[in-house]
Amino acid sequence: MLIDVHAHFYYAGAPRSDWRERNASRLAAGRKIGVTIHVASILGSWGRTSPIYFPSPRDVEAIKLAASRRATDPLLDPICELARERGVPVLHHVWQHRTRDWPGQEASDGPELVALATRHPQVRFILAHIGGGGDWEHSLAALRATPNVYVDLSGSGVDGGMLEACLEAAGVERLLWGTDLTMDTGWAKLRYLERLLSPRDLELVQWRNAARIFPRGAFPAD
Amino acid sequence: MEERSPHLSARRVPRRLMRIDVNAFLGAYPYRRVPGTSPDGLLQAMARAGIDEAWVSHLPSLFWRQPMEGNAWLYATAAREPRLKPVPALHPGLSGWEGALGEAADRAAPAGRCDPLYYGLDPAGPEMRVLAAACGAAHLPLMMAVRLEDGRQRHPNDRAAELPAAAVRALIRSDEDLRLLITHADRGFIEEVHFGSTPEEAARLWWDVSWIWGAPEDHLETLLGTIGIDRFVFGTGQPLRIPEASVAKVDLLDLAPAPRAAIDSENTRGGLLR
Repeated sequence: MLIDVHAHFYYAGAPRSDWRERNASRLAAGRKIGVTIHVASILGSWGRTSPIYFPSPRDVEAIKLAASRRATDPLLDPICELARERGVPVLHHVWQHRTRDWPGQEASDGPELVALATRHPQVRFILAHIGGGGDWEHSLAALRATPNVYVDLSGSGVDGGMLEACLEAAGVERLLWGTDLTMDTGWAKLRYLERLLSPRDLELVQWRNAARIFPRGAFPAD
Repeated sequence: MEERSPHLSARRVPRRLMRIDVNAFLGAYPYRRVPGTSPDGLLQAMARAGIDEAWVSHLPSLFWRQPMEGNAWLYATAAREPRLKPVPALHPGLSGWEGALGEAADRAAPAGRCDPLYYGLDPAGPEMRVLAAACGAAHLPLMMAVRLEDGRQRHPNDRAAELPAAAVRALIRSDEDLRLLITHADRGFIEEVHFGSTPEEAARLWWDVSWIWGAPEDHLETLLGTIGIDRFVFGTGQPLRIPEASVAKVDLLDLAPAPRAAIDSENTRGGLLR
């Protein structure tokens, strides 16, 4: 079993003319890597067809907070309360020590997510793509003592020492495997972890941690 | 629960021929802790990723005022380990660079490297053009890195600009015998240089695959189709990056043995080093 906790699919309403090719490529690469479940959102649709910002009907297994939202914003509290009621995790796109805001991208980082997670200790938060570019050491230092923040390993970053640092800061029980826009780097991290972890610990990262934080029944035979 | 695919393990990829990593480093990095920077550490990572030979640069001296002072250690280290091939630093703004270039040729180094933005040089300025001509005359490929790390995560004091694509175009045009090996370039950079060059110039450029995205964006697959497989060589950027990334992105292409061998080693041995 292998759960990709950070995938993206597109559809005709998404801002990609090549959306069919990208979807097909993700599924083909997933088959080769052995991905069993793609937990996905649709970029650019602002919650209309994907659980970004707020839950859309029925098929929602998690909530993804939009990138342009600082995690300390109290407007997120009702959403987190809803996540607690429904037992779904909240994934937050993190910028990893970005020092200024950009249009559509507030500089929300590990410390901001930790502040939100501290206000909502019963909600599980996913710090998205530690490998997504940015100062990941800054993020890891922030989340060390916050047990309800999980680290997803997705992103194009494959820095030497990053996986060891994730294990050291969060522990193997708070790591989630994911890909984001580059499945090759996701596969690389998985291969690296094969050598670094025991088979039992590898399973935690591959799927057991995800199965624990997503709603019961979200995955086949869960 | 459904079992994961048996394809997962790196040990299960198809049998292969030689794999040469043209883009590896030895020595400490000043801006963050990086494991595996020693020769033994690099050799262990190579064994793990199925890499037979690595072209190695001396990482600390990239940041020194006199980068060529790292070459002696590099030659001595590579002499003890046949799987490592030295890529010495060449700084055309400092006296002694002609001797360093001559030594590289004498010691059969596969390439020399220059990182002008780290050295404080104009990347297409007069010093670089003189170096380009000298490397062309010596039949020594010149290696240049676009970047070493993602620009979004660099240390506050790590302020050297990234290599501009225009400089690569200018250099390859400046000398008709020059061969350039550009590492850490992404799709946009490669397209800007390749399609802005003449076919003759483009045929003297090689790109390592380390910074090119694989599936599902499929940048590498696209470039193999538009630019041609002959221009691409295997490289990792290790130990700053884990070498598994370059192996995995090529594995995902499902290439036939011949094109796979072209990327893994044959373009390096038969094209770049001809």
